[in-house]
Formats: sequence, structure tokens, C-alpha cells
Amino acid sequence: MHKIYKYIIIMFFISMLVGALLPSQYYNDMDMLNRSASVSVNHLFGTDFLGRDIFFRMIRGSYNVGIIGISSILISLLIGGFLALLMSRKKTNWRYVVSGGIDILFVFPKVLVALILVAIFGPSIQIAIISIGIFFIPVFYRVIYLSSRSVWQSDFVASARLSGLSKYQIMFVHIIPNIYHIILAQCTIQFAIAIVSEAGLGYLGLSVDSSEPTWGSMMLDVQNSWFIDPYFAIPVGVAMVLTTFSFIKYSERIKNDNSR
Amino acid sequence: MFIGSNIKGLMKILIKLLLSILVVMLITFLGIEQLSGDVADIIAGTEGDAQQIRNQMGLNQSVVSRFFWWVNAVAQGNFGNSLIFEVPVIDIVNERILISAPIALFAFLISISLGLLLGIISVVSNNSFWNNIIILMISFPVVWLSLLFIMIFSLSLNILPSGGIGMWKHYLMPCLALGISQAGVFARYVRVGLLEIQNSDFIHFYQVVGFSKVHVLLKYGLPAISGSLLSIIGLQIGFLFTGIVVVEHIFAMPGIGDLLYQAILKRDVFLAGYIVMKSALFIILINSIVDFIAYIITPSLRKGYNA
Repeated sequence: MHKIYKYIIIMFFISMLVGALLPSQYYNDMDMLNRSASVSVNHLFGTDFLGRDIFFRMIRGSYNVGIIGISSILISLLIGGFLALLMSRKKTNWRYVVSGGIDILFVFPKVLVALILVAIFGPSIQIAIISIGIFFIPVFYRVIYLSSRSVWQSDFVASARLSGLSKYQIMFVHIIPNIYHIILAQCTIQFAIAIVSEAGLGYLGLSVDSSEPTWGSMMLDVQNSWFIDPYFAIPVGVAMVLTTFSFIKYSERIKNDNSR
Repeated sequence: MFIGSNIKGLMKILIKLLLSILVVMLITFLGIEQLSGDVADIIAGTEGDAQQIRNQMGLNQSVVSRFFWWVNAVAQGNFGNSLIFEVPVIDIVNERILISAPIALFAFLISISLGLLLGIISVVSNNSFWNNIIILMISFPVVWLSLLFIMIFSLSLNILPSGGIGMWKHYLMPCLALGISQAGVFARYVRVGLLEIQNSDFIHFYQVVGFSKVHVLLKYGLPAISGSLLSIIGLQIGFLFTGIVVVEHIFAMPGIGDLLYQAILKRDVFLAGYIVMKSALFIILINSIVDFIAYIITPSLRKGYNA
């Protein structure tokens, strides 16, 4: 059963790679004679209300969604993780300032951040990355803070400190390898949440401009063709749920394998 | 209630509240400042005189003087007139909030009760089926769930309206879609918390004494994790707001989320600023109250064991 999740994740990354190399005429050209067409040999999943091929839009969309997920995780992992590693070392008063600031970030809804940014700069893929990334910083901060606190107090870190290693050396040599699997599991689950979040932002038209498809913005296209053909959202929706489900299951598996 | 409590923890909650309010005010003002650059041009269109509108609305004064003017006005409860509707923003928001409040309330109730139920069932039944159900609920974005509901109940079965407001029928699908997608997240927190605590000594002790596992988890396990669950509930309010914007957009309900979306797209800065400030302050206030309750009911926090 676990193999299936793995294959779905591998398929997602393959489609991301294909989507990165896909020329734009495949997913943006409108086949005016076959608008809202159903499944056929020419159009694997049919076409949308403008005659664009849904299959290729999904593949290109998986590339954009993947970029948004990976970049937002990288940003939040770097900022949140670094702060957490620093703060978990000693009990200083800075800890209150940082954790207070992190709490404020967590409370602020991501759609507000996205709306404000879009109003100022206009919709682009960077807006989605930043607003999802800001939303993820507290998650990584808390997870890494809680897991690294005990490692800092362990005996081998004390002996490393006695032998003259600086705190940054200890961080990279001892702390990060010890909590590596926790970070990996959290990244996997955050990737799933990034896909779900992008669906909401993309639907509101906040994640990309109109020339590029994402899975969220393809949901927006449904609204425009309600009474012609609402069912073309089904392939995207199924792909979204399958991918998210597999990523969450896989993260549980990483956690279970390492806690044994 | 407060005997033996550590003042430090209470002060932390208060300071956090004050700081959050300050940050929200700052963000709101900076947002308004950034956005209001060409608002006069937008109102004037091609025929009107933009410069005259700028003078009329005080947009040509310096940034600092406008900030003090704004803080002063806000302190007096005057949030300005909407640039689109040309009536005080408070009136519009008070009107629209009546549409959003039922959605938020019922979605919240559904998410908490369903999440609690599923979380407990998944731990007690101890098989992966219920866990998979929870993960499936998290995997369904609220957009896709809403669209699916519309496809099934409005377009195929034709028993529920696909949008608009008025009857209770209009509220059924938005509340369910939002509630179910939030319930998955809450159920997962309940599950993880119960799984962690079911290996602790006091749970084993009660089981050895002869209570059933279900009884022990419900009567002693759940209260033990209620502090952390409460802070999750506080966070859920923030997630709920994001969901409300999406759901109101899908079901064409003219609530507060839809109003915010329209206001920002049309650059109605005072309206958008007021909604952003009000909702952010509301969420922060709820979180502080929830922190406070968690503080009262959790002995380890109250007595400062893990401060």
C-alpha cells in the first residue's frame, strides 16, 4: 500500500519536470473548434471553455504548484529553522521577542498578506511564494525549536563545546543531523499544505498572472464556465487530492520509520 | 483561581496582545499608504480632475502628517468614508458582517465537533481507516470541496442553490465545505495529542486499575491535552478567515470576505484598511482570550513549571 504513495509522489515530480520543459503553445493555445470538449485522443482530459488542453495545463500547473511549494518551504525553513536553532541553545530574553513575533505571524491570515501584496505589486508567482512562506515560518520555528532543544542539552554537544567548536559548527555537525528526519517529515507535510493553500490563493486569482496555469487558477476557470461544462475541474481536483494525500501519508511514514 | 499563579506568564500574554495591536496598526497604515498612491486617478477616470480630488481628500499632504491624522481619526472611531460606496466604512462593514457571522460560526462549530469526534474515534479504534479519512479531509482544499458540492447538489441533484443569500439553504453548503476542510486539521491535532499522551504513566495507571481505554482517554486524556487544543482552536480562527474569503467568493455571498476582496481589487483603501484592521484585531483578541483560558486550566503554565 505504501508503494502507491511513493509512485504518486514520483509521478508528481516527473510531471513537474515535464511541465518545466513544456513549450507554452501546448497549454495556452486555444482550440476554438473543440471548446469544452470531452475526453478524446487529441485532448486526453478534454478542453476547457476556451479550448485549452486540460491535460497539458495540469502538467504545467504541477510545475508551478511545485515551484511555489518548494520555494515557500525553502524560505520558511531557512528563516524559521535558523531562528529556532539559535533560540533553542540558551534561555535568553531574545527568545521571548522572537517567539512573540513568530506568534503574531501565525495569527495573521495568509490571505490578508496575499491580498495586500497583490494590491501593491499585482499577481505573480512570487506573491504566492511569499505569502505561503510567511505562513510556514512559525510552523518550522516551533517544530525545530522543540526538537533541537533536547539535543543542545545532550552530553555529546557539551563535549563538542569543550573541544572548542563554535555554536555554528555544533549546529551543522551535531544538531541538524540529529533532527534531520523531523525536518524532512515536516517539509513533506508542508508541501501538501502548500498545494492546498495554493488552491485557495489561485482560486482568488492571487497566485499567478493569467498566462500561466496552476491547479488553483484552473479551479477559477470553472467559475467562468459554470453552465457550459463544470466537470472539467474533476481531473485537477482528483490530482490535487491524490498528491496531497500521498505527501501527508509519506511524511507519516518517515516519522514512523525513525521513531522505531 | 489566581492563587499561586506566576505574574510573568500573564504579563507575557498582555504584552503580546499590545505588540500585536501595534504591528497590525503599522501594517494597515503602510498598506493604505502604498495603495493610495494613484487612487485619485482611479476616481477621476479619464474625464475628472485628479489634482482637485487629491486636494479635496488631503492626499497631497506629507506621509507623517497623514499617519498622525489617521491614528487620531482611528482613536476617535472615525475610519473614513468608503471611496466606492461613499458612505462611512463602519456602516457597510456592520451590514456585511451579518452575512459572514453565521457562516463563520457554524463552520467553526462543525469543524470543532467533527474534528474532536474523528480524532477520538481514530485513536480509540486504532486502525488506519479513520486516520486515512482525516488525511483525506485535510487533502480536500475548501475550493475543490465547494465546487464538488455545487456539482453534486446544485447541478446534478438540483436541491440546493449554488449561490446567493437569504434562506438557510444558501448557508448549508458553504458552512459544510468550510467546516469539513477545517475539521481535518483539528482532528489531526486531537489524534496526535491523544497518541502522545496514551503512553504516559497516568493513562497506563488508570488502565491497570481497570477502567476501559475509551473511558480513560475521554475522562483523563482529553483534559490533559485541552490546553494545547485550545491554542489550536485560536489558530483555527485565523485559518477560518482565509476560508471565508474563498467560500464567499465561490458561493457569491456578499459578506465581509467578498467585501475585502472587492475593496482591495478596486483600491478602496479606507474600506480595505478597516476590514484588515478589524479582522486582524478580532483574531488577535480571540487568540489572547484563548491563551488566557489555556493558562488558567493548565497547571504547568499557571505555576510556571516549564516557563
